[in-house]
Amino acid sequence: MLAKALPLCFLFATAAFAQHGVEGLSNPYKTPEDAEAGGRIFRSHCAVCHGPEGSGGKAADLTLGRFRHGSSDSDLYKTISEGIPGTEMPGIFFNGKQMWQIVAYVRSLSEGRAAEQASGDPAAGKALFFGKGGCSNCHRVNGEGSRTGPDLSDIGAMRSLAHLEAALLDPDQQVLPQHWYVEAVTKDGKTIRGRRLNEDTFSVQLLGVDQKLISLRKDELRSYQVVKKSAMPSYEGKLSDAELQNLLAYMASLRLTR
Amino acid sequence: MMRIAILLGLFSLTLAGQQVTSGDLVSANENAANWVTYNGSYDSRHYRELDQIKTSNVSNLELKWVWQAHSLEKFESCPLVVDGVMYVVQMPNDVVALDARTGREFWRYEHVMQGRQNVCCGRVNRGLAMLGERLFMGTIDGKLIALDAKTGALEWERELVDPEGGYSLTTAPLVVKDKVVLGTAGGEYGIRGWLAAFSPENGEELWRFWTIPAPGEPGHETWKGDAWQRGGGSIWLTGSYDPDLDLMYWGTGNPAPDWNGDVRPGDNLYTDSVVALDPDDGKLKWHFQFTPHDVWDYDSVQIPVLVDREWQGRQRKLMLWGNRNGFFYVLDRSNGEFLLGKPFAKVSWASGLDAKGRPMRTEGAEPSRGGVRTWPSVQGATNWYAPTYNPETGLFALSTWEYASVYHKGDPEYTRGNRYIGSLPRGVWPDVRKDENPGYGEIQAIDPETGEARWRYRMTGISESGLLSSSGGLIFSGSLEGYFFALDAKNGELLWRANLGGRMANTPITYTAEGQQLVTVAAGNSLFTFGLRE
Repeated sequence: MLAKALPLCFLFATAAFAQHGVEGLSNPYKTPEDAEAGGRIFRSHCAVCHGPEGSGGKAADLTLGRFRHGSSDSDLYKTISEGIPGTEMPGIFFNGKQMWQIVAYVRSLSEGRAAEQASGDPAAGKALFFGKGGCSNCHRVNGEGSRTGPDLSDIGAMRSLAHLEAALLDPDQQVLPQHWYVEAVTKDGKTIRGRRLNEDTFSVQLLGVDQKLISLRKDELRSYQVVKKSAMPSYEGKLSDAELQNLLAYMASLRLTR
Repeated sequence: MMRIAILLGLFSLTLAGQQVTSGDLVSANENAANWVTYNGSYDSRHYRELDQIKTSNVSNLELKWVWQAHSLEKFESCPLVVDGVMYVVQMPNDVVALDARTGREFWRYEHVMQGRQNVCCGRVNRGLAMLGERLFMGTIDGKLIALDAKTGALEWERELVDPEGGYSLTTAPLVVKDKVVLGTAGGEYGIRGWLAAFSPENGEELWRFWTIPAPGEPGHETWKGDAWQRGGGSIWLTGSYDPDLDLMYWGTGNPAPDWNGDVRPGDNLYTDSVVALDPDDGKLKWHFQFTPHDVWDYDSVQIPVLVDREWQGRQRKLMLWGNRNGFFYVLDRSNGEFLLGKPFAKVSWASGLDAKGRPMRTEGAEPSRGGVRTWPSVQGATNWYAPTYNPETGLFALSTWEYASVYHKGDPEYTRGNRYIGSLPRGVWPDVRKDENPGYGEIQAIDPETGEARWRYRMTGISESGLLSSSGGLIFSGSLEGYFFALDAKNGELLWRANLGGRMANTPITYTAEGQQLVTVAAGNSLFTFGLRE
């Protein structure tokens, strides 16, 4: 019946294991095989909202290692088994071992990123970011810089070094729809550009290049297009190898405190 | 003594009206003041002979009242209106009686949920049925209950299914003659579906039709082994009834597990079908299966629209059906004969339908380990929200989605109370802000003679809103974007809209209160009622 994106209900009961109490316990089942077994259950029961790789969708991105309802093993167990009342997150009902295996899989989604080491100098990279590189003309880090591009305050926790390098050298390679921008021309000939925040049948909402929030009615425009390329220029050949490594080191260091 | 007599007289005056007889249900289309059943009438046309609001003045609509539910759960319920009183379900299973003219509450019944409930798609409820002065509702925790429509007092309740096993009751019951009919939801939990009739007096079960036949019953040969015991075939949307033919029609849900058919070879009757049943004993008269051996979750849980009209030169009793699988069907509802079928959206799982309406499947469109992009998406080219048939234009209109999913095949493992589905598709729910290919929604008006769209109204986003048409030449509908709008039924031109700020996941209704035509729709967590500026 999957009437609409599966999500769901609140469930007030707990799984059998949880009824005996798991508070304060750490996961006794966390081998790679356990995580793999948990992943199978995850893909059947959780992926429709959290995404097949746990990177989010209708529900939270679990690859960030941030868990708003508690990040201890027992917190995760409780959230998965009981659901989150007042939201569309349901509980699921498996035996205790299987529940811990799901916890192991969810943990595995955010592991590995912290181990990455960049070879450059983060301090020099920061100077480049806010200076010669011009990055802060569009991007913001911890409240500094422009909002017209994506906020990078947590980019080190969200992206691998390889991904960051690819984004700098070939920005059009992957542009997420939330970063597409709009070019519109009003009936009196004025051109308006900005990052698309929202769109419906009759209107579109932007963050303009001057950081103003703009809402346009489509019937008041002469032309309108969503540009699916990056507004960022390629840094290929514009930075020395050392500068590129410094910038990458700085970006990899950007992680919000949890 | 005289004072008592006067008082009695007053009470009898109060009690007169505000009730629904079997005759009222049969003649629902002739009393446009009321909306007495989930689909408005037995033929489920979602059309009313009301023209106070019309193409020339619809721009003068104004908000008359708002009722805010004390619930943040998805508002799929459609209200009933009986002689000035509106009855609506507050998610998941509270019932509220309102003054249809002002939106003020008369009473509220609060259902206390018991045990744990396992539901695939939210604790939703689609509405109520009424007979006499009783309201009937199925609950998420598996009960059929009857309330006193004057007070909201619980008259009786009967536990029908085990919610811990994945069964739940989400459909609005249908009252036919002296019986209350409904079925069970739970198609993602390895249930065995059924439809059954109950006494309005005490909930006693009168007959049961299993949507998955047991060994020895006709249709069981379309199953292998014991797969039938967990075969799905849920009922989660109200059917239609033809009093002349004395046949009820209900759409059935997907086979289980949804996306891996290896454990259930065969056509898997009577899943993804329409079944025509005798309302007196539940006996099957005919069936038509839209998607044999479904592996995409294309439930045939849509509303059967019953139309008597000339069709290709001959007067016929038709059933019009826009199916989740992307095809529009015309059937002869007296015997289930397939008359016409055409796609109304992109369909890649089948190349067409054969002379008997059986789909000609496309090789390579079934779910695979690596994933296969197939149209329509898992939410279908349309779904459960109501279409409308307008006898003045002769057009069948419905909300459609142009969207694909990537279907994955996994290993289904049955454990009681957990999903039994066999992996999950990607691309379940488009988001215009985050998807590279979010598709789009349309309202289409299809000519039943040809199966071709006469007009299309295109939206940036998709819609879960049903359609309502009226003799004022209008079609009302809404969108997930939060717009409630009116189109010209002749050509789909947008005539009026209001931003209600929340998704519409039900169907607008129209009725009159103190002589004024009103239109009510739920958006977000509230009911909004519009009428002409006075």
